[in-house]
Amino acid sequence: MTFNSLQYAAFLPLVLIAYWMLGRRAQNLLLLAASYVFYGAFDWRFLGLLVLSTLTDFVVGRMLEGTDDDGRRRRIFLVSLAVNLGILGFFKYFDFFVTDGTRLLGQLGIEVSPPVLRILLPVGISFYTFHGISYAFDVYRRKIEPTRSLLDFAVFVAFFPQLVAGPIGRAHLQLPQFGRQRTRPDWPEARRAAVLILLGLFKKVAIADMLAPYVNEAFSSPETTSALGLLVGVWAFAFQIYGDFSGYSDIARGSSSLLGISLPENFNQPYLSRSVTEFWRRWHISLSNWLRDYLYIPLGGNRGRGLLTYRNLLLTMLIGGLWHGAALTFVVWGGLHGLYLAGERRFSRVADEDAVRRWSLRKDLVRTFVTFQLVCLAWVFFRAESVGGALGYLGRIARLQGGATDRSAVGLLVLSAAAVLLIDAAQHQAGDHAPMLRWSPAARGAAYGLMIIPIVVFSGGSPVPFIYFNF
Amino acid sequence: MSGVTAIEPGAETGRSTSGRRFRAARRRRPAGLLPLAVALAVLLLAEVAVGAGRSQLDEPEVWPTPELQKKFAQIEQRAEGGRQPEIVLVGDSMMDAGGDPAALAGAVPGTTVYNAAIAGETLPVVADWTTRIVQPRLEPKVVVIGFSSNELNPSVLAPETGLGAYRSSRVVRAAEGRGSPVDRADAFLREHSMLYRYRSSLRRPFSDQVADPDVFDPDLTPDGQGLAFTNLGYLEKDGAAQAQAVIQGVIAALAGFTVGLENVTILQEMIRTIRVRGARVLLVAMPVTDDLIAAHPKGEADYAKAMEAFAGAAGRSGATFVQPGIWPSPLFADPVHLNGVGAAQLTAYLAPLVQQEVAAARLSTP
Repeated sequence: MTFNSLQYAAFLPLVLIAYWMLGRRAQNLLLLAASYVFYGAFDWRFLGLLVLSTLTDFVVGRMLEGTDDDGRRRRIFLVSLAVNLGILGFFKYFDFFVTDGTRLLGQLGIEVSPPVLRILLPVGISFYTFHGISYAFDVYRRKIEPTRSLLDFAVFVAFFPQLVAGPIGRAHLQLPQFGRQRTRPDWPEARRAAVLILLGLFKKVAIADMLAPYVNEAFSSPETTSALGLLVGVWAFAFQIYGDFSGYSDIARGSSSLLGISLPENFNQPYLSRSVTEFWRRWHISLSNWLRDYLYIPLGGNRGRGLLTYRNLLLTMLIGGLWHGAALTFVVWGGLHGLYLAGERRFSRVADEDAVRRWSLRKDLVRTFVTFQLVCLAWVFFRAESVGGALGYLGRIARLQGGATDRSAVGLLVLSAAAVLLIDAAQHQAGDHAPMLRWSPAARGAAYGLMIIPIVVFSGGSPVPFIYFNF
Repeated sequence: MSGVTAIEPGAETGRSTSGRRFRAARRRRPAGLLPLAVALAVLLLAEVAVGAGRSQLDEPEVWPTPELQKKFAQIEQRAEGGRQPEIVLVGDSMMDAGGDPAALAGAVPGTTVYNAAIAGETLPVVADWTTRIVQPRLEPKVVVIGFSSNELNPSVLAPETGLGAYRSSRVVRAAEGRGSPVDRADAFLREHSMLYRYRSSLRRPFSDQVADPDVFDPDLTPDGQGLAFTNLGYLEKDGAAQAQAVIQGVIAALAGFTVGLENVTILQEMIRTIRVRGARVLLVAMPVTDDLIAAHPKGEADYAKAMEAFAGAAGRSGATFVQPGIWPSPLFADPVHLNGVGAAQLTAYLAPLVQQEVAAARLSTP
């Protein structure tokens, strides 16, 4: 069941009606059942993994509470790490390491033929295992008290609005919300939630899904497409993935808000960034915060000498890349971002300034444009089927290859980019993710109507799955 | 919402705050509803605009392929108008291209013929389409089934051949009475919203550039009476690229050829179902080229096994089986499909056989 399906349009209201008729504990029971139904609708066979991860981290939390022995605590924490990373490693990376490892050994003259299991990737595995790890880590580091309620914890791990593609939950922010009585959203809150869901659907259906066929065409047959057509393909992918993923996050946050649970922001107008450092403060914020707190800082962060900081940055981004998918393309994508971040850290101090200064068209346009192109360069590796394919794609652009340029793709890109940037600019100006709530009632109504029309028109056929479901 | 607190400031004046809130809410309500009203007005405007321009728009694409969509509409029109034909041709693209309903009706006086064959679909889909959609609506006296050896290969049962898309499509579920509440909601929206109903046509300017071309142009079969391929030369000129694509597809379809037990069972069940409902069945192993036979992994031996299986299935389920055999390539548009000349030849071949079946059917009808 995806957010952009008629099934979800029926599922969410039914859950909401039942949810607000119940008390806290029954609400959590309902949420758990609804979340398992939601997850089981993708593939019920993988529910067992979700339950295993949940039980492990809950028991680890309880056991950590029961001992002050640092060595024992460390060993208990390692159990959580081993189970979560074991699940992730087996289901997501086994075939990757076997096939690519075999190829590498073959190049070194060592012939081996290990089995390739063609394992199915459980939806959302990267997200819920990260939920569990963050909880166990925070309990281990004594940053939070372990929960005594298995039900609250199970709901935290499986909470359906964020289960399959985030935002990645943090126990200290979310667990207390499941442990206390929730307040039914009042009219302004419900309206804000509904606007977020509408905006999310608009970004997903009317922008991302509309661009998808052109992106697929450019990346599947780059040899017959002109250099301009290939450039359009990359830019279109930049807006496709943004519309797709930020649209998902908006619907997740809106749905969650209707349930009285607040989820963290995941996107904050990333393509207005003036540096890659700033980009990572605005793109998939829940992942970059997770990587910062549970990987970069434990590795030493920027506390050591210069070289160690660069190593930590590069390692964090490489692992962040690999988290997205079991392929070398994602490793290169992460590596490129690591190099960007290290380069910016070495040669510029813009990142710190950008955190506090407002965006200005006159001063920031060029830097924003350059940053966008750097991000797009990395997107080529993210989207391509192989590193060779990505290099070939970039080579064709560099050689100014002749060929066909789909004019309608150019027009569509301009339309989509204008829509995305208008939404971003309005959000930036208003400092609000639902900026139309500050507009006059007539303008607001017109905006709702104009967003619903393309949602209806472009929502034909089977719902297109969200890109991040693959991760 | 917390509701009204126990001690309210308005109590001193004898007027409750809740009363004031209520009146204030009533005053605010029009402003609160204004965005909704404007949004509805915008949508209504769009509905009216689409409704006004509907004659320029194509009917919604609800079937998995344009041909299924077009033929279903034709079948419904015939059924509703009481114009059911006596003879129906069914099968895959070989019968779709080779069956000439108008010519066959002319060759078998006093009959009408409809070609319900569907290109690109495989045995299980054709069986489902014939027994659940075509026969209940058209109620023909004679059904002519045209297949070849490729439909007996177990690979045609894989969901990716189109069977999955066909079985899971909303309209097939609804037509077969398997519709879910979501399917019913979809049908309701299609019925009552112009914007929803014509959305596939409205988004065409944005998606047509990358749409896959359909090999069979359904416009070539108006009312199911025309021919799909007429003047294409075998592996020549304009037809060459298409012919190569077809032969590649055939080689893929015949890879690892065996006669599948399940395929034979599906075919037998299809024939039995048609016969139980009172129609006679003529099973035709469609004419083939030497090139098609050579595309089997074991050539003629594989093809002979398939013919034996067809004969067995027809015998066990009470159908008449005929095998026109190998025909010369000038009768074909490509290595698989007959052209206009070949279709005429097939009509001449089938006419006396169909005539016998029709006569037998008329005799057995009270």
